[in-house]
Amino acid sequence: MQVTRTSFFAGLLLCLPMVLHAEMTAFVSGSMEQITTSRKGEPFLLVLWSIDCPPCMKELHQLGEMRSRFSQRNLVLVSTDDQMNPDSVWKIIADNHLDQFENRIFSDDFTERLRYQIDPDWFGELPRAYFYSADHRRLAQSGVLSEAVLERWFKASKKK
Amino acid sequence: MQRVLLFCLGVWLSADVLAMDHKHKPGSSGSQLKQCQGVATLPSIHCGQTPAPLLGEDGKAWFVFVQNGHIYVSQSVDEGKTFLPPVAVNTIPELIYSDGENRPKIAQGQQGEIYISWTQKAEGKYAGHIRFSRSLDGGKTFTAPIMVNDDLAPISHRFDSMVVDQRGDISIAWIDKRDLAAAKKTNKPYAGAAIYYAVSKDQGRSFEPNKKLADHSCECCRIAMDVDAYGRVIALWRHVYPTNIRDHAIAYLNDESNSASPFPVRATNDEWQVEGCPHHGPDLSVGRDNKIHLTWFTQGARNKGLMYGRFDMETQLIEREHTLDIKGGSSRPQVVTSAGTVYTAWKRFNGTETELVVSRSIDNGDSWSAPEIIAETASGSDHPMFVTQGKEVSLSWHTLAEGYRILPVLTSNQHASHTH
Repeated sequence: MQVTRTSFFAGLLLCLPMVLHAEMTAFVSGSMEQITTSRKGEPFLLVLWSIDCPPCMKELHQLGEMRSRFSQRNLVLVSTDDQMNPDSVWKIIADNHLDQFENRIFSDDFTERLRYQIDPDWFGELPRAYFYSADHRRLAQSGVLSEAVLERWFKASKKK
Repeated sequence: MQRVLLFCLGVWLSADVLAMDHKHKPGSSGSQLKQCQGVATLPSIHCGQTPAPLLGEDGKAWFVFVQNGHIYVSQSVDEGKTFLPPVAVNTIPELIYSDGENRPKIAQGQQGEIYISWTQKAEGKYAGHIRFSRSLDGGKTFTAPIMVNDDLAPISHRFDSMVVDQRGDISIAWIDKRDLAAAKKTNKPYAGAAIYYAVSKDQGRSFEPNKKLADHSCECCRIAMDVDAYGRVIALWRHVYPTNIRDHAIAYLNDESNSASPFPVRATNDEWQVEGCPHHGPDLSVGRDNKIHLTWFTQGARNKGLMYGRFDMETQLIEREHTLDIKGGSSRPQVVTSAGTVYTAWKRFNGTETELVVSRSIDNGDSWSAPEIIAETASGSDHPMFVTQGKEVSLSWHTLAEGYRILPVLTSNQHASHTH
């Protein structure tokens, strides 16, 4: 069998579901600053979650259902699972149709420092959400977000 | 087709390498010590994960840890300064839960038996089984592991906790989702998981049938257990009170009056309503006058941060609630009583390093000394654990930069003469 250009790209397409998790970026020391500075003047929602958190699955499902309401830039998802299991983490993201957004995974053993850079007042409970306004004032919430809370934020962030 | 698959495998492998760029080797703790680098690392308490100590007589000590699918026990004859080559408890490797909240336990029987319990990972999300093995020859050999949970469905039986009482009976309690699974089949709502336990009255040869302690526990927090002066085993866990109030419940094991209650006695009243995972279980220690000293984490309407409280099983009231630490980044509050003093310890992050701090109470929890830094580390670290022997109190702490350490904690008398 001769490998033609077409079959090469067709092959690549076939493999797509397997490669996609490479798009999950590492969350390391300094990543939090990167996320905020690259969204200067833009409102966005930051959601922290982990596999070992059953309520987080409910949260991801809900965000997946509402995915069309987000732009590609105003939702950022960070998995606090360590890098031992990136495939399982990515599968959950893909199953909930959240693969179009910026997805990151904790990739530093010093998780205390990563959490501190996200929020010095956070104790690590999940899911955890930060609603950023356009001027980057933020509101933190622990626990699954209700639809009403998300609707309020959609409305408020559109006003600007 | 074969070529397509091979091609895919190549693409997939290279993608995997990309994704794994920052990750450490599977099976290692991510230790930064020189001797722990490389795939062929020998089993060692410094290189493994989630170590826990058991101090015996004459400076003898045993330490359990996880590495490359094995539970290992390493003996020390100088209280944890140096270690003999470790012995594998499970000869056949298996997947083992080894994170801070879900880790192997080690305990001693009355004739010097060494008991080990752990949670084996099973196929399926959150699935696991509670395993047990014992050594009757001082840790030289271990028996083939047995299953403690008698429901063998591939669902959650995890977060084992183990104590040995004054009769020598072994109690193991864990978080169990068999009732949640049954409720799902009939489309009935069921909040959280359940607490189940099993008792061995023959030095760990076998366990009696599983019993349910309570419905509706939180799903991902360790269970704390201790034995009171009358030999009653007490369990403390994060519960789910209606609706989504994640405060703590307390109960005696083997007490039919409160068995399998959806509303077990409430130990903490923080009113923390959250549909989420604190990933942060409590600790308890029975002290003078059978008073129960508790430490826990909450973000409730009444209390916030790391807390201490003294609980009385007779009156079912909590008293002397005291905030140990209100700052985010503080975590894992532990408590132990020794020679009339109550000790609490926890971790806190100061912006650069994680500090391990201790506070003491010489009046049974009425008042507390200012927190004192015992150790610090500039990288990742495990939960700290108290260990006592006679009047000596120490903290067991595994840090990625320094390895495993037993850190002495000054007793209140030593502390007083040290500071004057």
